[in-house]
Amino acid sequence: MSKQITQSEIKAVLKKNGIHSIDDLTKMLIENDSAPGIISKKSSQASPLNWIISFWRLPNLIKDHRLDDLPNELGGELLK
Amino acid sequence: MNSNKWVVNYFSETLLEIDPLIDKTIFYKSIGEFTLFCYLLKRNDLLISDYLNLINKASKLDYKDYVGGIYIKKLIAICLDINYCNNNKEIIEDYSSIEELYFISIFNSINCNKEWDQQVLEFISVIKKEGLDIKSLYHLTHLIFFSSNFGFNMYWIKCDNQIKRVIIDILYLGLSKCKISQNWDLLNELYLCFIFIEKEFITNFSQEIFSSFSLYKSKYGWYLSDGNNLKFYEDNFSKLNFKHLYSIFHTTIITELLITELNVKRGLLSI
Repeated sequence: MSKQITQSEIKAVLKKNGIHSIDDLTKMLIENDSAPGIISKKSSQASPLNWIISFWRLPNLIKDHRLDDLPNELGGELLK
Repeated sequence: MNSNKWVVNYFSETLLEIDPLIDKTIFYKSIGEFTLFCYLLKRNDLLISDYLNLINKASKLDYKDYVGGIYIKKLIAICLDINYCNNNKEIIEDYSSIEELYFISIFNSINCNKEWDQQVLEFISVIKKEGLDIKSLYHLTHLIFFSSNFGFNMYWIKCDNQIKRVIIDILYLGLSKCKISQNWDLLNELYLCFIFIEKEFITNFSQEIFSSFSLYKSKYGWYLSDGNNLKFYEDNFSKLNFKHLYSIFHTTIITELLITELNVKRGLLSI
Protein backbone atom coordinates (compact mmCIF):
# COMPACT_ATOMS: atom_id res chain seq x y z
CA MET A 1 0.00 0.00 0.00
CA SER A 2 1.59 3.21 -1.09
CA LYS A 3 0.21 5.37 1.69
CA GLN A 4 -0.74 4.23 5.12
CA ILE A 5 -3.59 5.72 7.08
CA THR A 6 -2.02 8.37 9.24
CA GLN A 7 -2.30 9.01 12.94
CA SER A 8 -4.11 12.30 12.21
CA GLU A 9 -6.67 10.54 10.00
CA ILE A 10 -7.41 8.15 12.86
CA LYS A 11 -7.66 11.02 15.35
CA ALA A 12 -10.09 12.80 13.01
CA VAL A 13 -12.28 9.68 12.90
CA LEU A 14 -12.27 9.44 16.70
CA LYS A 15 -13.06 13.14 17.09
CA LYS A 16 -15.88 12.95 14.54
CA ASN A 17 -17.42 10.17 16.63
CA GLY A 18 -17.09 12.07 19.89
CA ILE A 19 -14.14 10.14 21.28
CA HIS A 20 -11.37 12.33 22.61
CA SER A 21 -9.38 9.89 24.70
CA ILE A 22 -8.90 6.20 25.33
CA ASP A 23 -10.61 6.79 28.69
CA ASP A 24 -13.77 7.69 26.75
CA LEU A 25 -13.52 4.38 24.90
CA THR A 26 -12.95 2.34 28.03
CA LYS A 27 -15.93 4.00 29.67
CA MET A 28 -18.16 3.25 26.70
CA LEU A 29 -17.17 -0.40 26.66
CA ILE A 30 -17.76 -0.79 30.38
CA GLU A 31 -21.12 1.00 30.25
CA ASN A 32 -22.22 -1.04 27.27
CA ASP A 33 -21.43 -4.43 28.73
CA SER A 34 -23.32 -6.02 31.56
CA ALA A 35 -20.95 -8.98 31.76
CA PRO A 36 -18.55 -9.03 34.72
CA GLY A 37 -14.89 -8.32 34.11
CA ILE A 38 -12.37 -5.59 33.94
CA ILE A 39 -11.22 -3.81 30.83
CA SER A 40 -7.66 -2.77 31.24
CA LYS A 41 -6.03 -0.04 29.24
CA LYS A 42 -2.80 -1.97 29.39
CA SER A 43 -1.94 -4.34 26.61
CA SER A 44 -2.90 -7.98 27.09
CA GLN A 45 -0.75 -10.90 26.04
CA ALA A 46 -2.69 -11.57 22.85
CA SER A 47 -0.46 -11.06 19.92
CA PRO A 48 -1.58 -10.34 16.39
CA LEU A 49 1.10 -12.74 15.22
CA ASN A 50 -0.29 -16.15 14.65
CA TRP A 51 -0.95 -18.96 12.24
CA ILE A 52 -3.64 -17.39 10.10
CA ILE A 53 -2.87 -13.73 9.91
CA SER A 54 -0.37 -12.83 7.34
CA PHE A 55 -0.13 -10.55 4.44
CA TRP A 56 1.23 -11.15 1.06
CA ARG A 57 1.41 -9.34 -2.17
CA LEU A 58 2.38 -10.31 -5.62
CA PRO A 59 5.00 -8.20 -7.28
CA ASN A 60 3.48 -5.52 -9.41
CA LEU A 61 5.51 -6.54 -12.39
CA ILE A 62 6.13 -4.46 -15.39
CA LYS A 63 6.01 -6.41 -18.60
CA ASP A 64 9.78 -6.36 -19.15
CA HIS A 65 10.48 -8.19 -15.90
CA ARG A 66 11.03 -11.89 -15.78
CA LEU A 67 10.03 -14.01 -12.81
CA ASP A 68 13.58 -15.32 -12.59
CA ASP A 69 14.82 -11.82 -11.84
CA LEU A 70 12.70 -11.41 -8.76
CA PRO A 71 14.00 -11.77 -5.22
CA ASN A 72 12.22 -14.40 -3.15
CA GLU A 73 10.65 -11.89 -0.79
CA LEU A 74 8.41 -10.50 -3.47
CA GLY A 75 6.10 -13.49 -3.28
CA GLY A 76 4.77 -12.25 0.01
CA GLU A 77 5.97 -11.32 3.40
CA LEU A 78 4.75 -13.34 6.34
CA LEU A 79 4.46 -11.93 9.78
CA LYS A 80 6.90 -13.64 12.03
CA MET B 1 -12.85 -22.72 -15.34
CA ASN B 2 -14.85 -21.92 -12.23
CA SER B 3 -13.14 -21.11 -8.94
CA ASN B 4 -14.26 -24.27 -7.13
CA LYS B 5 -12.66 -26.44 -9.77
CA TRP B 6 -9.42 -24.48 -9.65
CA VAL B 7 -9.29 -24.75 -5.83
CA VAL B 8 -9.84 -28.53 -6.06
CA ASN B 9 -7.12 -28.91 -8.70
CA TYR B 10 -4.65 -26.71 -6.84
CA PHE B 11 -5.27 -28.41 -3.50
CA SER B 12 -5.05 -31.99 -4.73
CA GLU B 13 -2.50 -31.66 -7.53
CA THR B 14 -0.14 -29.02 -6.13
CA LEU B 15 -0.54 -28.46 -2.40
CA LEU B 16 -0.87 -32.10 -1.35
CA GLU B 17 1.90 -33.14 -3.71
CA ILE B 18 4.39 -30.58 -2.46
CA ASP B 19 6.99 -31.33 0.20
CA PRO B 20 5.76 -29.37 3.27
CA LEU B 21 9.37 -28.74 4.22
CA ILE B 22 9.74 -26.36 1.26
CA ASP B 23 7.84 -23.90 3.42
CA LYS B 24 6.18 -25.48 6.42
CA THR B 25 4.46 -22.24 7.49
CA ILE B 26 2.82 -21.63 4.13
CA PHE B 27 1.91 -25.28 3.79
CA TYR B 28 0.04 -25.49 7.09
CA LYS B 29 -1.45 -22.02 6.70
CA SER B 30 -2.91 -23.10 3.37
CA ILE B 31 -4.42 -26.23 4.94
CA GLY B 32 -5.62 -24.29 8.01
CA GLU B 33 -7.26 -21.52 6.04
CA PHE B 34 -8.95 -23.98 3.72
CA THR B 35 -10.34 -26.05 6.60
CA LEU B 36 -11.64 -22.86 8.25
CA PHE B 37 -13.26 -21.88 4.94
CA CYS B 38 -14.90 -25.33 4.70
CA TYR B 39 -16.07 -25.10 8.32
CA LEU B 40 -17.81 -21.81 7.47
CA LEU B 41 -19.42 -23.37 4.39
CA LYS B 42 -20.50 -26.38 6.42
CA ARG B 43 -22.15 -24.07 8.94
CA ASN B 44 -24.33 -22.75 6.12
CA ASP B 45 -24.94 -26.22 4.64
CA LEU B 46 -22.94 -25.18 1.60
CA LEU B 47 -19.96 -27.52 1.82
CA ILE B 48 -19.72 -29.19 -1.57
CA SER B 49 -18.65 -32.83 -1.98
CA ASP B 50 -15.49 -31.89 -3.92
CA TYR B 51 -14.29 -29.83 -0.93
CA LEU B 52 -15.32 -32.58 1.47
CA ASN B 53 -13.05 -34.96 -0.47
CA LEU B 54 -10.18 -32.51 0.04
CA ILE B 55 -10.95 -32.32 3.75
CA ASN B 56 -10.80 -36.12 3.85
CA LYS B 57 -7.35 -35.98 2.31
CA ALA B 58 -6.28 -33.25 4.73
CA SER B 59 -7.41 -35.44 7.64
CA LYS B 60 -4.67 -37.94 6.76
CA LEU B 61 -1.87 -35.39 7.25
CA ASP B 62 0.29 -35.30 10.33
CA TYR B 63 -0.22 -32.16 12.44
CA LYS B 64 1.69 -33.11 15.58
CA ASP B 65 4.58 -30.76 14.88
CA TYR B 66 2.39 -27.82 14.04
CA VAL B 67 1.22 -25.35 16.66
CA GLY B 68 -2.22 -24.75 15.15
CA GLY B 69 -2.67 -28.44 14.40
CA ILE B 70 -5.18 -29.19 17.16
CA TYR B 71 -7.52 -26.54 15.81
CA ILE B 72 -7.16 -27.71 12.22
CA LYS B 73 -8.01 -31.26 13.31
CA LYS B 74 -11.06 -30.03 15.19
CA LEU B 75 -12.28 -28.08 12.14
CA ILE B 76 -11.75 -31.16 9.97
CA ALA B 77 -13.70 -33.32 12.44
CA ILE B 78 -16.64 -30.91 12.35
CA CYS B 79 -16.60 -30.88 8.53
CA LEU B 80 -16.58 -34.68 8.48
CA ASP B 81 -19.19 -35.03 11.25
CA ILE B 82 -16.91 -37.12 13.42
CA ASN B 83 -16.07 -36.88 17.10
CA TYR B 84 -12.67 -35.60 17.96
CA CYS B 85 -11.38 -35.40 21.48
CA ASN B 86 -8.31 -33.37 22.16
CA ASN B 87 -6.70 -31.32 24.81
CA ASN B 88 -8.13 -28.03 23.65
CA LYS B 89 -7.44 -25.12 25.88
CA GLU B 90 -10.59 -24.21 27.70
CA ILE B 91 -9.28 -21.37 29.79
CA ILE B 92 -9.67 -18.08 28.03
CA GLU B 93 -6.80 -16.41 29.88
CA ASP B 94 -4.40 -18.77 28.16
CA TYR B 95 -4.95 -17.48 24.66
CA SER B 96 -1.86 -16.33 22.84
CA SER B 97 -3.44 -14.82 19.74
CA ILE B 98 -6.82 -13.65 18.55
CA GLU B 99 -7.11 -16.82 16.46
CA GLU B 100 -6.65 -18.94 19.53
CA LEU B 101 -9.21 -16.88 21.45
CA TYR B 102 -11.61 -17.47 18.56
CA PHE B 103 -11.08 -21.23 18.51
CA ILE B 104 -11.36 -21.52 22.29
CA SER B 105 -14.63 -19.58 22.16
CA ILE B 106 -16.27 -21.56 19.35
CA PHE B 107 -15.10 -25.03 20.35
CA ASN B 108 -16.15 -24.52 23.97
CA SER B 109 -19.17 -22.24 23.32
CA ILE B 110 -17.77 -19.51 25.56
CA ASN B 111 -18.90 -15.90 25.32
CA CYS B 112 -15.71 -13.86 24.95
CA ASN B 113 -17.23 -10.39 24.54
CA LYS B 114 -15.09 -8.94 27.31
CA GLU B 115 -11.93 -10.21 25.62
CA TRP B 116 -13.06 -8.82 22.27
CA ASP B 117 -13.76 -5.47 23.95
CA GLN B 118 -10.20 -5.56 25.24
CA GLN B 119 -8.82 -6.33 21.80
CA VAL B 120 -10.85 -3.54 20.14
CA LEU B 121 -9.71 -1.08 22.78
CA GLU B 122 -6.09 -2.05 22.31
CA PHE B 123 -6.37 -1.82 18.57
CA ILE B 124 -7.78 1.70 18.66
CA SER B 125 -5.22 2.77 21.27
CA VAL B 126 -2.36 1.59 19.08
CA ILE B 127 -3.56 3.09 15.79
CA LYS B 128 -4.33 6.39 17.53
CA LYS B 129 -0.61 6.62 18.24
CA GLU B 130 0.81 4.94 15.16
CA GLY B 131 -1.73 5.15 12.35
CA LEU B 132 -2.56 2.15 10.21
CA ASP B 133 -0.41 0.21 7.81
CA ILE B 134 -1.14 -2.91 5.82
CA LYS B 135 -0.26 -5.19 8.74
CA SER B 136 -2.60 -3.44 11.14
CA LEU B 137 -5.39 -3.42 8.55
CA TYR B 138 -5.03 -7.20 8.28
CA HIS B 139 -5.12 -7.35 12.05
CA LEU B 140 -8.35 -5.33 12.01
CA THR B 141 -10.00 -7.60 9.42
CA HIS B 142 -9.17 -10.67 11.47
CA LEU B 143 -10.27 -9.02 14.68
CA ILE B 144 -13.67 -8.42 13.08
CA PHE B 145 -13.82 -11.91 11.52
CA PHE B 146 -13.19 -13.56 14.87
CA SER B 147 -15.08 -11.23 17.21
CA SER B 148 -18.18 -11.52 15.00
CA ASN B 149 -17.68 -15.27 14.55
CA PHE B 150 -17.74 -14.51 10.82
CA GLY B 151 -21.04 -12.68 11.12
CA PHE B 152 -22.65 -15.38 13.25
CA ASN B 153 -22.90 -13.72 16.66
CA MET B 154 -24.29 -10.52 18.16
CA TYR B 155 -21.03 -8.88 19.28
CA TRP B 156 -21.06 -6.03 16.75
CA ILE B 157 -24.83 -5.69 16.85
CA LYS B 158 -24.71 -5.05 20.57
CA CYS B 159 -21.50 -3.01 20.46
CA ASP B 160 -21.54 0.62 21.55
CA ASN B 161 -22.72 2.61 18.54
CA GLN B 162 -19.95 5.22 18.69
CA ILE B 163 -17.26 2.55 18.73
CA LYS B 164 -18.94 0.77 15.85
CA ARG B 165 -18.99 4.04 13.89
CA VAL B 166 -15.26 4.50 14.52
CA ILE B 167 -14.50 1.02 13.21
CA ILE B 168 -16.76 1.51 10.18
CA ASP B 169 -15.07 4.84 9.36
CA ILE B 170 -11.66 3.16 9.62
CA LEU B 171 -12.87 0.39 7.31
CA TYR B 172 -13.92 3.05 4.78
CA LEU B 173 -10.45 4.62 4.98
CA GLY B 174 -8.91 1.19 4.37
CA LEU B 175 -11.26 0.54 1.48
CA SER B 176 -10.23 3.67 -0.37
CA LYS B 177 -6.51 2.95 0.19
CA CYS B 178 -6.89 -0.62 -1.08
CA LYS B 179 -8.70 0.52 -4.19
CA ILE B 180 -5.91 2.98 -4.98
CA SER B 181 -3.20 0.39 -4.37
CA GLN B 182 -5.22 -2.38 -6.08
CA ASN B 183 -4.85 -4.72 -3.13
CA TRP B 184 -7.73 -7.05 -4.00
CA ASP B 185 -6.99 -9.49 -1.19
CA LEU B 186 -7.27 -6.92 1.59
CA LEU B 187 -10.10 -5.13 -0.21
CA ASN B 188 -12.23 -8.28 -0.15
CA GLU B 189 -11.40 -8.91 3.50
CA LEU B 190 -12.60 -5.36 4.25
CA TYR B 191 -15.86 -5.95 2.34
CA LEU B 192 -16.40 -9.07 4.45
CA CYS B 193 -15.88 -6.99 7.60
CA PHE B 194 -18.60 -4.55 6.58
CA ILE B 195 -20.99 -7.45 5.99
CA PHE B 196 -20.08 -9.14 9.29
CA ILE B 197 -20.61 -5.93 11.24
CA GLU B 198 -23.88 -5.00 9.53
CA LYS B 199 -25.38 -7.05 6.75
CA GLU B 200 -27.18 -3.98 5.36
CA PHE B 201 -23.83 -2.98 3.84
CA ILE B 202 -24.40 -5.59 1.16
CA THR B 203 -26.69 -3.24 -0.74
CA ASN B 204 -23.95 -0.56 -0.71
CA PHE B 205 -21.25 -2.77 -2.11
CA SER B 206 -22.69 -5.67 -4.15
CA GLN B 207 -22.48 -3.98 -7.49
CA GLU B 208 -18.95 -2.63 -7.11
CA ILE B 209 -17.70 -5.98 -5.81
CA PHE B 210 -19.00 -7.99 -8.76
CA SER B 211 -17.99 -5.40 -11.34
CA SER B 212 -14.41 -5.27 -9.99
CA PHE B 213 -13.85 -9.00 -10.66
CA SER B 214 -12.99 -8.25 -14.29
CA LEU B 215 -9.77 -6.64 -13.02
CA TYR B 216 -8.44 -9.62 -11.11
CA LYS B 217 -10.43 -12.78 -11.85
CA SER B 218 -8.49 -15.11 -14.08
CA LYS B 219 -10.09 -17.09 -16.90
CA TYR B 220 -8.70 -20.14 -15.04
CA GLY B 221 -10.86 -19.48 -11.98
CA TRP B 222 -8.32 -18.02 -9.54
CA TYR B 223 -8.19 -14.43 -8.29
CA LEU B 224 -5.08 -12.26 -8.36
CA SER B 225 -4.17 -10.89 -4.92
CA ASP B 226 -3.10 -7.44 -6.08
CA GLY B 227 -1.96 -5.35 -8.99
CA ASN B 228 -3.16 -5.14 -12.53
CA ASN B 229 -1.02 -7.71 -14.27
CA LEU B 230 -3.60 -10.46 -14.56
CA LYS B 231 -2.55 -11.54 -18.04
CA PHE B 232 1.11 -11.72 -17.03
CA TYR B 233 0.27 -14.11 -14.22
CA GLU B 234 -2.02 -16.15 -16.43
CA ASP B 235 0.75 -16.49 -19.01
CA ASN B 236 3.42 -17.31 -16.42
CA PHE B 237 1.38 -19.42 -14.03
CA SER B 238 3.52 -22.53 -14.41
CA LYS B 239 6.59 -20.54 -13.26
CA LEU B 240 5.06 -19.20 -10.04
CA ASN B 241 6.69 -20.29 -6.80
CA PHE B 242 4.93 -21.61 -3.68
CA LYS B 243 4.53 -18.15 -2.14
CA HIS B 244 3.00 -16.75 -5.30
CA LEU B 245 0.61 -19.70 -5.47
CA TYR B 246 -0.30 -19.31 -1.82
CA SER B 247 -1.06 -15.65 -2.44
CA ILE B 248 -3.43 -16.56 -5.27
CA PHE B 249 -4.96 -19.43 -3.29
CA HIS B 250 -5.69 -17.17 -0.32
CA THR B 251 -7.32 -14.45 -2.42
CA THR B 252 -9.38 -17.07 -4.23
CA ILE B 253 -10.87 -18.57 -1.07
CA ILE B 254 -11.41 -15.12 0.50
CA THR B 255 -13.25 -14.00 -2.64
CA GLU B 256 -15.27 -17.22 -2.70
CA LEU B 257 -16.22 -16.58 0.93
CA LEU B 258 -17.25 -13.04 0.01
CA ILE B 259 -19.42 -14.27 -2.86
CA THR B 260 -21.02 -16.87 -0.58
CA GLU B 261 -21.76 -14.24 2.07
CA LEU B 262 -23.25 -11.90 -0.52
CA ASN B 263 -25.48 -14.64 -1.86
CA VAL B 264 -26.50 -16.04 1.50
CA LYS B 265 -27.26 -12.68 3.06
CA ARG B 266 -29.10 -11.46 -0.03
CA GLY B 267 -31.21 -14.61 0.21
CA LEU B 268 -30.01 -15.99 -3.11
CA LEU B 269 -28.79 -19.16 -1.44
CA SER B 270 -30.75 -21.02 1.16
CA ILE B 271 -29.30 -21.56 4.61
